[in-house]
Amino acid sequence: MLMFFGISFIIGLSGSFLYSGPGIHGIKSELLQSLAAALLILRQARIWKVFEGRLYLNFILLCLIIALFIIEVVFPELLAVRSSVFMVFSSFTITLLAIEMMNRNLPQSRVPFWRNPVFLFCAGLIFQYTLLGLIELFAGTLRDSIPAVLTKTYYFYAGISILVQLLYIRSVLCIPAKDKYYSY
Amino acid sequence: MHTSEGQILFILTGATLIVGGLIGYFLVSLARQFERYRHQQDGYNRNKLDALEQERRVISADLHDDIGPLLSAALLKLSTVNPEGAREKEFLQQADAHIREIYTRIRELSVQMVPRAIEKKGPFYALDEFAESCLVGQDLRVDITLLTCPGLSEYRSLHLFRMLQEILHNTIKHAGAREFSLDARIEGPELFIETRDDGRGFDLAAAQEKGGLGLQNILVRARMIGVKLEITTSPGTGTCYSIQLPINEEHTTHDSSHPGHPGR
Repeated sequence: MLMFFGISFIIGLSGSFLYSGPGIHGIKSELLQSLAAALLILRQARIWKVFEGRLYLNFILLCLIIALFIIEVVFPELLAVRSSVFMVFSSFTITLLAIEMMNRNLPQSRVPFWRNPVFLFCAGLIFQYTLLGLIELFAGTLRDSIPAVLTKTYYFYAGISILVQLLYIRSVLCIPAKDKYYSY
Repeated sequence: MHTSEGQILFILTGATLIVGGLIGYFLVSLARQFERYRHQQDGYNRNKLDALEQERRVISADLHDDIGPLLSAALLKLSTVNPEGAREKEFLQQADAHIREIYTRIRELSVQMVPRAIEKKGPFYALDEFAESCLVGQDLRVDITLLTCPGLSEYRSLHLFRMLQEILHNTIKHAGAREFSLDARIEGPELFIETRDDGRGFDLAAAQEKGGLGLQNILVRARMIGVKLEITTSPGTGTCYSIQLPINEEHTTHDSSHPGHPGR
């Protein structure tokens, strides 16, 4: 979880201040951010046993995400659609994984959901990546027909992002302090 | 329709469908996880109860087979002592009486832990013995249909007995009842049991919310052996437990994946 925040922060910083336009070596920072997020969430889902008994699914998703990223970056002409297929796929994958992670945790959680770091973290992911996936999916249509709506949609996304950041902050604050260490 | 309007409609429809799909997935996944968690808890409780029964058997056998003979040997040795004085003789008699008392109590305890009647005659006779032993000094009239169920395995008999024992125990401890009746009958492949008391009853929803160990164990054991259990009670109206149990394990409708008997 903390690794996710750390890497998001670094890539966000690089996108905002260091590289503008094409991003790192011509790769858009949003793509890099989505790749990092997808890989970290996949890893976290494996740790939280979402793929228990069906580890092949983890492998298939990993391969698909990496393949789509490479195709999008190296052979963009292969995916001749107006939306970023990689972004749409990775966003909805993250959303579904976040739903699974949240639901797996909820029945056995002993703390109320507003103090449950897993719930808050997953809720943040669901909000952010559902909206990102929808915007990315319909961005082409909006850009062609009513660009003003697209701009407003991005503002709305920025507003939701603030709420999501608050959820992430709250989730980090709710991680229990490790004051006892066990060794086996 | 204007093109942009059509596109907005397309976007709205698409977004609604996707969000609806995600919400549906969320709900299905949540229900599945709760079901999975319930199964996990059942498995955990089942293992706990099996381990408890196993432990009871071991302790009961140890009490009966190890301590019993030792006390008999001690009595035998005491009988060979020939005290000279009256005071010593009195002490010896007292010691002899104490050891006999301990011996009797240990035998009772051993039988209570794993009633032999379950193996020999079935759960209803074992419950009758239990009722006799614990109703001394109680103002409760117990009427139990003594029925034998030849097809009922020992494992299921034991869990059925524990359920009935807990029901009777709850009646004695909490209900303040004056009468307790247990009617049992076999109809085809099913065993029907109905227990009824005229006690003060209880709020079932509140009791389940509270999660008392006795009621919880009854429910877990019921699921373990495939019992259909219905509890009818409310404050002031007494309590009625209706139990329906397939006698043969192949007729068990749910929880049939149970591995079978606990190891001995």
